[in-house]
Amino acid sequence: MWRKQRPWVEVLDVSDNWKFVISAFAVTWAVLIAYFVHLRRAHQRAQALVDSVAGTGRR
Amino acid sequence: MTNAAITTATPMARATRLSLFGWFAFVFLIASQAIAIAISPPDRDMGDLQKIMYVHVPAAWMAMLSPLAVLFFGIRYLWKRREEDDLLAASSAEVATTFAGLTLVLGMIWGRPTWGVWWTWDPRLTSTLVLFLILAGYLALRAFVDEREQRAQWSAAVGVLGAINVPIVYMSVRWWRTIHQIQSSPSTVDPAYVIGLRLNAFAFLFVMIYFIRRRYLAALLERSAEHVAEAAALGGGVGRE
Amino acid sequence: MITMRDDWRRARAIAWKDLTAERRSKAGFNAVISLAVTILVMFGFALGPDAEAIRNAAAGAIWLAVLFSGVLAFNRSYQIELDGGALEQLILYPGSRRAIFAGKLMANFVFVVLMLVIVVTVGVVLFQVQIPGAWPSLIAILLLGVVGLVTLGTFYAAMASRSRAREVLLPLLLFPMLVPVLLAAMEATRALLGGNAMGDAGAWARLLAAFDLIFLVASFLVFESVIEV
Repeated sequence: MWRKQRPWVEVLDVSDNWKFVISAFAVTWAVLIAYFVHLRRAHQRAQALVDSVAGTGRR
Repeated sequence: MTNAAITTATPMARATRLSLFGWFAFVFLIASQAIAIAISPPDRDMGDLQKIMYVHVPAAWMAMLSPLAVLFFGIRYLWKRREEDDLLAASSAEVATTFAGLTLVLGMIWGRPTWGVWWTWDPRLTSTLVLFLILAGYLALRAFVDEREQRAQWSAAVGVLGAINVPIVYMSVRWWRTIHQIQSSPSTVDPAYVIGLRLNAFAFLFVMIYFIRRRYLAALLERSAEHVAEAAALGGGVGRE
Repeated sequence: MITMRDDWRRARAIAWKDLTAERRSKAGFNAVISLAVTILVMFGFALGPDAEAIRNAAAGAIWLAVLFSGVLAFNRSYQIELDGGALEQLILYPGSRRAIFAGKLMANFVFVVLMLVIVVTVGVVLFQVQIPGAWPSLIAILLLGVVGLVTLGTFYAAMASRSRAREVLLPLLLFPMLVPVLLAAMEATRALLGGNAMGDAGAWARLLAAFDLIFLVASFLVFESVIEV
């Protein structure tokens, strides 16, 4: 595979790269899962609201 | 929007379908990431750092796509004044904020070893940052406005203007950097990586749609509860005067 | 039947009312101007005292000083009606709500232009800037920048001034939206103050004019939804 020359790429210690790759994927999953948990809590809160109102809202 | 439509049988079926879709999206994402990592060879310059592309780029695409949803639902709300559109817009905005934030963090993680710094005023990264701030403003507006109709109309106004501003910001930042003669980052993707990228892009898309639906359903539930409470408060029970 | 001329007259009336109210109680304008100058001085401390650095930063500092004090002016422009509960009345009058926007926009424009004149004067002195030969172009750029600033400021203040956290909400909503306008205005100003060797100022000026047009149209189209509720 070929690549265009990109002079701005600094040549850094390659052995460090894996740290960044792992962090990237870890952060991605952390954020997605955290947001999913937030969604579930929102849903539960809404459901609780519906249940409490359904009890008193109708006679 | 009647209460009956919300509190009868359909939500059950809807919720189950949604959960199935959620599971599908989750599995698809794992598979896409695994496949992409497995089949992609190391880049000549970046080495294995290239793999970050499989999360950063799809996240960025979703961060650009979800504001379009905010724009669409915002315009539809201003046109038809239906509560559902306001809730859909708000849900899209919340999801958009998540993806925008994720894009920024991943951009920094990719940038540090590639460019040597945590941040450059790169047009795409910068306009994502401005987008994030616009969305933060949108959410703050919703938090500080209590009156429902006011909140819906103002959110739509802010969302529409905010969405059309994003490409304008991108253009002006790019021009800004060109004037000051700063190199741009590459935008071409080596053909060897395209399949992995496309797979992950779709995976992220499914996740985004799932998130928005889920958020929307919760908002609908909440709204229906409020409607019922209001009706009761106005004396809608049997045997009341 | 509501004609364009009625709208225009209404807009002028509103602008005149706002400006007169402002003129009667000079305290408001003086306070905002003092704030703008203070901010400019603060920038001086932040960036100086090296003459080169300060001269480079002059354009940015001037615009930011106007921006930060401007947000106060924008919120205040709705204050008069809010205090007296007159906003609902104003909306009830027959005729386009866009006249309200146009009127407030014009009043704010005059206000900010006056502010800018003073800030630029002080800025030129404090930041050791040379007045460029092309000062008419500079004035044009400044005016274009104010148009964009005032358009979005008036628009967002219509909401922020009536919400719970107006002091933080207006900047939060407004500043990201102003990035293109401010970028163009600052860069064009900087280019002109620096002698415009590259001829960039013209390109930025055209961009700025385009941005102004886009935001003017968009704000006008959407303002009705904002003010009627």
